Amino acid sequence: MDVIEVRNVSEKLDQFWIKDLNFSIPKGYVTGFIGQNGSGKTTTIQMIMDVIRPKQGEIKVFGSSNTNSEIKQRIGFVYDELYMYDNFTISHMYKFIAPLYESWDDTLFERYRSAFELPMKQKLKTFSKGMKMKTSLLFALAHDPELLIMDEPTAGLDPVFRRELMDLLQELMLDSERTIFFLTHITNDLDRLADYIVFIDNGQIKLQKSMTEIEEEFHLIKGTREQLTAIGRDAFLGVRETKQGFTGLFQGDSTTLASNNHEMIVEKPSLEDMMYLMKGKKGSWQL
Amino acid sequence: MAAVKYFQLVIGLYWKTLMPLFLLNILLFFVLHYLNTSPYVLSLLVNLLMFYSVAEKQEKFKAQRFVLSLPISRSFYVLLYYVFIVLYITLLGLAMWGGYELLHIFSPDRFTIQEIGSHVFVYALFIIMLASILIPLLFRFKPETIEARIVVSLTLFIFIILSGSNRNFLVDYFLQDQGNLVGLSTVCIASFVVSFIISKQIMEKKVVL
Repeated sequence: MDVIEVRNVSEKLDQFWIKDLNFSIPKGYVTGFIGQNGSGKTTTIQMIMDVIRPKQGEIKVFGSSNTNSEIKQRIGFVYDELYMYDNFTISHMYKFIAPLYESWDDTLFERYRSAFELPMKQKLKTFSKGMKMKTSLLFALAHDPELLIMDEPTAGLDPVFRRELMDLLQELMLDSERTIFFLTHITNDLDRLADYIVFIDNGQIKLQKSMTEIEEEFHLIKGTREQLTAIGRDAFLGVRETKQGFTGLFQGDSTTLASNNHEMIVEKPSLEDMMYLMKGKKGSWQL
Repeated sequence: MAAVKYFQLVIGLYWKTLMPLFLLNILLFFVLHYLNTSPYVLSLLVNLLMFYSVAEKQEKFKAQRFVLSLPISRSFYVLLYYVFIVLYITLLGLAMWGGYELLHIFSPDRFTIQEIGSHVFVYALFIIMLASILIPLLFRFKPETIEARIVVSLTLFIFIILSGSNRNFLVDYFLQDQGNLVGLSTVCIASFVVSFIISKQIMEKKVVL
């Protein structure tokens, strides 16, 4: 079952186009939404959350239209920043946010607040970026959401907190009913966490696959420029050349390259490698 | 009641911002009255500043983004915001009434009880009119845009011009005749309803960036 379904969604904002988006997020898994800055990740997530209403297409969350505000009872949403007045305190926010959620759990709220070491009465303007992110997480998690959507939660944070966050998300995923949709351009975060990857580039979905499929199907090929000429650039999904040689992303059985007497280094690509190389060649993906 | 918990959100978001200007408004109103200076234009200016600064702060901290991530529909949020404004004006009216009563105790010859009621009522209607113009505008445009500033300045300008040399002109005009007062009440309430409908439509289509 899919928790989020995005069908034929298009939207134009200033000079930026989202073009005919189609993807879905399966229930019970962590899906990483990757793409470089300005690729359309945040716009897509804002359309899912009904902050932006697309001119064309349909978005369903838990089988209902995303414009139905009731579905947000089941969603925990974390922005890339804490969008709240800086003279407010957690205590003040609690007073008007907690009553909105039917499944709000004060024990859970207190457990996370204490784990995140967040003060109740201190003004938000005195909080560090890490504390603000923890505050966002605190309010997103305290109603025990079935779907957690996070927009770049680790951007600008120190490595220790990033690691702690990953541990927390892994702990949350022990509940097989829970789904996490995690938007990031720091792909290292996803290597140990994600089950599925959706890659967006220039407002278009370029890839949606499971991590297992990615590991099986994609190969990082390194060789000389002569070897690249012999194989042909078109065999690769993306190629970067240097004076020393080339690095290419190959989809399929890499032994077919070796059988042509081209001895090359074949490695497993990281998500970062894939993002980097896929950016280099547009419109060549077969989804 | 379910609506009460949603209303807590609106109060939680806006009252803290409004409170200092609310108190300033009351203080200014009665200091000017005590000094025998008409307080209406200045008081309306404070209210205009108040609506504007709430919108500006909301924009600065992108609070609408936050609101839209919560389980509350856009139209219900607008409705609650208007209910909140009605309550704010009622509270302001009651505070004015209380202040007038105090002034009446110290100088009983200055006002009759009937005059106090009429003054407060007309003043409240003016703020309703001001809110009716400003709220949809501030939902539609970002407060720092030239469009928002032009309309805000124009609204203020109209109120000042209409007041003329006698700054109680507007209030006196509507208090002169029962018909004028009924007319003003009808126009203000109708404007407020139309304003709500427009704001709701703006919010339904709005891209909150």
